[in-house]
Amino acid sequence: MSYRYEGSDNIGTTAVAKISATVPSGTTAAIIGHTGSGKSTLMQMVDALLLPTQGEIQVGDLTINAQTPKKELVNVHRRVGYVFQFPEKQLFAPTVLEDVAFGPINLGRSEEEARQAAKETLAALNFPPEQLDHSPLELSGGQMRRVALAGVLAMEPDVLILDEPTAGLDPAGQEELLRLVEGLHQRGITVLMITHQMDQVARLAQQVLVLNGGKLAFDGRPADLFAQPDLLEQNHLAAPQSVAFANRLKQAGINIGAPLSLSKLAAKIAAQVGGGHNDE
Amino acid sequence: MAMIEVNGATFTYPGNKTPALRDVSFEVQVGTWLAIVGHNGSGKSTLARLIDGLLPLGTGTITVDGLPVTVANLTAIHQRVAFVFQNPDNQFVGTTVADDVAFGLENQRLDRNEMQARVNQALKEVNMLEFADREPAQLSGGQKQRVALAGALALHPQVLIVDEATAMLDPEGKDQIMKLLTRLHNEGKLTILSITHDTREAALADQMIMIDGGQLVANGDPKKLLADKKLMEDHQLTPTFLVALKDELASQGVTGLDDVTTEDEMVTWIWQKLNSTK
Repeated sequence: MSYRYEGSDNIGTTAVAKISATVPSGTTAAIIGHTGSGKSTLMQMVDALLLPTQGEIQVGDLTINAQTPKKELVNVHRRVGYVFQFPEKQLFAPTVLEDVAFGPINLGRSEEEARQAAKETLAALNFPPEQLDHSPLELSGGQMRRVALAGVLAMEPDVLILDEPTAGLDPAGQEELLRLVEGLHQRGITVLMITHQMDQVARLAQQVLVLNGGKLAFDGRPADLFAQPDLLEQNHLAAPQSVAFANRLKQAGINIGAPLSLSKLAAKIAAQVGGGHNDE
Repeated sequence: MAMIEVNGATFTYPGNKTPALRDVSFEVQVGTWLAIVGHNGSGKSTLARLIDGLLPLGTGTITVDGLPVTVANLTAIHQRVAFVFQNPDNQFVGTTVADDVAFGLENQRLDRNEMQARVNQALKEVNMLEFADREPAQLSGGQKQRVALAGALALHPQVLIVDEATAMLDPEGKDQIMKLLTRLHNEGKLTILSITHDTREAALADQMIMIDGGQLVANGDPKKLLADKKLMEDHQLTPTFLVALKDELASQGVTGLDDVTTEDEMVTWIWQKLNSTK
């Protein structure tokens, strides 16, 4: 499918072109590509916030194309939760609980049910129960983002889109959020995560889609992507830190492959300097 | 000569009991690149806003280029200090990219040609000249941030404060901004204050201060401070890749890494180890 943005000049720019890909249920997929590659446009189409100009998108058993009537899009919005960049900017209710319950109430659930769903979601995200009555604006940046995420999760989406979920958080807040995404995966939620952080791709994703100039440049496993330095360079992408360091060793004539984590990198180095054999 | 002198700076947000910043003192020499690090809520952004006079100082003094930062001097301070904030969406006013960069210059009573030249030069420096006639709303976050930086550079400031300005950029965009800051720094006169929790960014600076709980907890050479594992952990900062790797290697029984202080030295160390055991 493709999408064209209509500019004020009415010429329009094709934002994404002829992309075909499948993400299996329960997968955490990273959507990467340098600035302006079409990542957000693609994700907005998955949530039917934009309709494709050509082609179609399937979310579960729902099909979205240029002709899909507006009232049917609501069904897509119910299936797909979209957590935008800096979602805490959209917190508005006087208390944390009311903010999180807002989504389920909007989906037509009773106030009682919505509050229950909100409490359960917040508990699942380890939000301290004694702060449910606090104003969301009193919380730390990491906690505010947790509340914003809970607001989307309380609607029980099958698919969750996260746009740069750790942007602007300090290292402790980032780590908290990454653990949370790991938890979502364990609960069987399909996660589509836009990120610029290759270390997060290496750590969290089973599948990675690389966009470049609105076209799909790679669809496969992170390990296969990061083992191809030329492909990374063509797409203006960095390698995760452990792979980047392994590449420097390779230039010095020491080949230890493309380890995706610090502990794998250390294990490979230890095996070498300890005089052990390396199988890769 | 000191470009910035901070002496016993203390600031409490209205309605709060605990100060956001408490008795902070340090100096930054002309042309220095200072990294200000600390976890969220540590007070580092408050400090930057006090230096630019965006917040009124409680007790203590701050001078920029010898001028005390006071309400009376605010115009003079703003002529010397340009600020780039973390979130580019909050800093756009123009209908085109070029208009936006020109906006900050409108108070400076420049003639039209000079203004145009400065706008073009600044956009060129951030590699956004081809976007001059676009609407800011059409740009991605990274592109917006480069335009915001161009807006700051067009003012020809003496001090450039960048508050987590690369946090939203993709690796290439981040790299471009880092190279740009490095080039501006090497040219000599611009004093750069970068607020960051990216240790790679902090490592590029000449001087680093660490803020925690509103207090200055360290001030010195970034290479030394970043390698201090205990200091970093105590203040909830992520260790550098090198420190983390040394740690992980030590836990896997690899010894003799104490003298390794850079990633290049690590590569050499491994190479030597392999070639002396063969």
